[in-house]
Amino acid sequence: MNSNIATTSAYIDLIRTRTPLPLGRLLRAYRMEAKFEMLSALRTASFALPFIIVPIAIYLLFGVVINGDVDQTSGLGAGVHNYLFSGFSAMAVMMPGIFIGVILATERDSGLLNLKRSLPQPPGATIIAKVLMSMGVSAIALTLVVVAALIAGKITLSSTQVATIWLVLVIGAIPFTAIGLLIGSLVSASAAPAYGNLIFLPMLWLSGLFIPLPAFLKHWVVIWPAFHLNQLALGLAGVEQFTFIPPALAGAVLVGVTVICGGIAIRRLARVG
Amino acid sequence: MNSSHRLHALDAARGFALLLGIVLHATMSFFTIIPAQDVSQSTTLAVTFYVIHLFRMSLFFLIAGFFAHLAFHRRGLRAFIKDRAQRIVVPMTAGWLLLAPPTIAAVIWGMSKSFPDGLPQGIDAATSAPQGFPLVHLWFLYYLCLFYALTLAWRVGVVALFDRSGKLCAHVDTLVTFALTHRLAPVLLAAPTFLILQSDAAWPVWFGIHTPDTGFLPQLPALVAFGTAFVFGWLLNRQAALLGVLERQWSFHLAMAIGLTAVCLVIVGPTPSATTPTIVPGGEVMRFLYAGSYALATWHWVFGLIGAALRFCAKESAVRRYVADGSYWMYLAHMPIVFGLQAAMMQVPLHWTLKFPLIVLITLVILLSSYHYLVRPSFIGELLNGRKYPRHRQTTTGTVLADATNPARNDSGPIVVAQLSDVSKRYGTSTALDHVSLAVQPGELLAVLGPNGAGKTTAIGLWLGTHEPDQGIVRLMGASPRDVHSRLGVGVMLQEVHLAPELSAREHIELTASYYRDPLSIDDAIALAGIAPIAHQRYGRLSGGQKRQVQFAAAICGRPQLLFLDEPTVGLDIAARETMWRTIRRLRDQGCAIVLTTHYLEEAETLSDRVVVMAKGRVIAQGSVTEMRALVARKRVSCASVIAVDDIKSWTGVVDAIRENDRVHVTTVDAETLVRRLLATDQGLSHLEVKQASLADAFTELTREAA
Repeated sequence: MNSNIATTSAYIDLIRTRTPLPLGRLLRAYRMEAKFEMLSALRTASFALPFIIVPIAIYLLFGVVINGDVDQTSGLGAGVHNYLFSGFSAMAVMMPGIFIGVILATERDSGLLNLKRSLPQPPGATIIAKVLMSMGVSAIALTLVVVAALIAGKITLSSTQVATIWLVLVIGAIPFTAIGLLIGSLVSASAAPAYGNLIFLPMLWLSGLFIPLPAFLKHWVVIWPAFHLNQLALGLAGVEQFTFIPPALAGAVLVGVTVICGGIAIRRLARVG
Repeated sequence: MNSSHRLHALDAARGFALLLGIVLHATMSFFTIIPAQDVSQSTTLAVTFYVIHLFRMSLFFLIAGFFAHLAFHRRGLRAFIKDRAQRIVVPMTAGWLLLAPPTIAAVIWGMSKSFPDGLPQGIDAATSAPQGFPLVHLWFLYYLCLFYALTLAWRVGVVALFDRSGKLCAHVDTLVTFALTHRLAPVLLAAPTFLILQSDAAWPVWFGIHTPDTGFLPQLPALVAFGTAFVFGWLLNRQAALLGVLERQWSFHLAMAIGLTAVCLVIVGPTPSATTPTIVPGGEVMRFLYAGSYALATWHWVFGLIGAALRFCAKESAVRRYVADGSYWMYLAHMPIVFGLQAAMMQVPLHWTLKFPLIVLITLVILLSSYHYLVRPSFIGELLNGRKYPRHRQTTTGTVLADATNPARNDSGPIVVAQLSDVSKRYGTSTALDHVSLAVQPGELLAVLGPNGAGKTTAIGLWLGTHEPDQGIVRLMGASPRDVHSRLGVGVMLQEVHLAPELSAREHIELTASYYRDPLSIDDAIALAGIAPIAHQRYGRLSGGQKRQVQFAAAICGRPQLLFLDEPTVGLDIAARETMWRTIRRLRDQGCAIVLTTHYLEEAETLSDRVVVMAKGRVIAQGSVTEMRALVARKRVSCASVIAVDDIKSWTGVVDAIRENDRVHVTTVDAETLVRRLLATDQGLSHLEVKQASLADAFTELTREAA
């Protein structure tokens, strides 16, 4: 009889442990994951620092100092500064997203992901935290570029247009994060930087973000997500001079990239870890 | 190379020929008007088409003939006919009914988009539109049936009636061997095609063998050209050793093929003539030269590609095998997709260098996913490839959820919090777990012992849902471990995990605690694990032992009902280990079940209620610590003695004897008899010592027996 009571109480204990987390605690778990992901990234100097400093430095160097008179030399008028601004801004959101693959690959290699899959971590928390982190780092880098552009005084955009570009680009970090997650879910930590660069560098130079392309490469800009993000930002901000494709098309391509890369990454992380 | 390797290579080559067909048809809108005329026209794609078209079907029919002979002789006439009916005739008929209407619709759509006002002047509508009965791309199956019928008729009629002695066949074999080894085969095989092309006034010169897709009446050029290939394939299988000759000659044939193709293209031009399709520029001599080069190039391509496949694709590869299996379905189904995409995209202002790869890519994605999800696991795959591959292995894995509302109750048995029932797990060829059954009850501390590679960590991975079993049932808290709710009551400390180095110990515990419903306070977890002094330090700066303590704190912070500790005390100093042991005992006393793997036997001896010994993926013993010891009720007798160990080994009851300098160590099942005899034999014996075998001895004994 006694043992029956003990069994029953143990049984009730077990049922209790299986009860799902209340919503508040569930949301808190996601929030903590994101918070510590962000903290960890900001404390990792080799990750956060270049992604925050490099875009503003490059913008100031190539967008303001060296090409300060591009409005007179290019034949594109004062609007060309807006294009440069948006191009360098797009670069700012590409980097943290793509190179998040390195962090993910490191976590896979170090067994951390396997541990989290063993723990009752809420589903998708790792990925959501990484997406939010990359948007956060992008937002910081982007804000610096915006401030630099406003102070340099080269751009002729209204404040609404600047805000639109800022917002579109921060959200636009998501497809690049999906690419990064795909890299991180497939390759080892030591190979991830190489793969990241293999995608980042050609995309940077060949998307027509800020470098005039030779004619035979112009057809090919459409294969790079960075081109579409730039087009989406410019299109939604109403910068007609530099809107070459409908924003809806650019958006659709970015959604496609997110779904395909993110989908494969999530599937692989869930199955293989 | 053995014969099955050669078959893999030929299978790969056949798949290659079929998949090239998808590329071939995808080029068409970029230089012809069928199925649509793209806004971006391309000479490069025209040349691509030309080259592929030159050899593709001959390559296919040769391999088809090869496999036909193989199957005919393996299965016999009746089974062969039945098999061909199932895998060729049924797909042809069903495929035509399903595929011809959308394919023809795509062509009509594309052409009406290209020429809204009717076909332009100078283009003969009669040669470009389907006429008679449109076989579409399935004509190749129809011709395959014709070739089967003709060859079987010849085989069963002529050969069986008039060549009983086999003399004729032997002569043919000699001829084939001679032609191949002397590199004359392309010339001999090209001759019939050359004659047919040369004498055909309606020969569409640029397109080579005119595709016979417009009716059931066999067309002579196709019948001769592809029939030669089929028959030669059939003969080649009679002497499969000749494949070795082709393998050695691959580079010669490919070089010849490229040279002859260049000659052909120079003569006829890189794109087809829309106005004079049957005229070779340059007159009769050029026509003669062109027909010869064309027929010869075909055969050099065929031999070069087969040789290259034998040379480079003979090793069995899972990917190649998959693609080769899938190619039949993909080729059957591709036509409406390719033509539909060409028609849909013809006016999109993209350069052909983008549009063409995009069409091929979209087509391949659709075809591969349809193959993977719809065909391979279903009766269609069985019909086309002779077998089906179930998408999910047919096992009762942990995903078989017992009802989640009645979790841990195991019918009428005791409550179990974690269970493996007859579980097996393999990695490649090595077996990590072999029919293992283990159950953990609430409040018990189970120690899992075993040498490296015994399967301990795999067992934990299965319990936690990070691995899936190949066979058997895994339950955690009464349900699948893949369900996150099953893990809400579980704490985990794994081996070789590196937590984020930039976060502090405290932050790691805070993060892990957030996963649980009712965790300990962070301070309590820190105190229990004894890590207060290092709680604010960055994890990356801690020593190995300190890191293990932080991981332990994270494992217990959720007030688990079940705790997995995989080698928890490795690298700890004595004080830290004592603290951890104390906490483990306390948790157990509070009703937490603990699964502990360890190399330290004294740890198991000190802590555990029950011990499981594993070796080579199997449970070789389980019971309480005392039972384990009793299982090996042996004693160790040591002494300083001059008696030779070989003599001692022959005494009754002695299991083993070794000498270490002047001391002798003897393992025995009967210590008293042994001691008496030792003392009687050696008067000078000293330093006598008798010990109960420890758990370590028992363990070593058991695992040695298992190995």
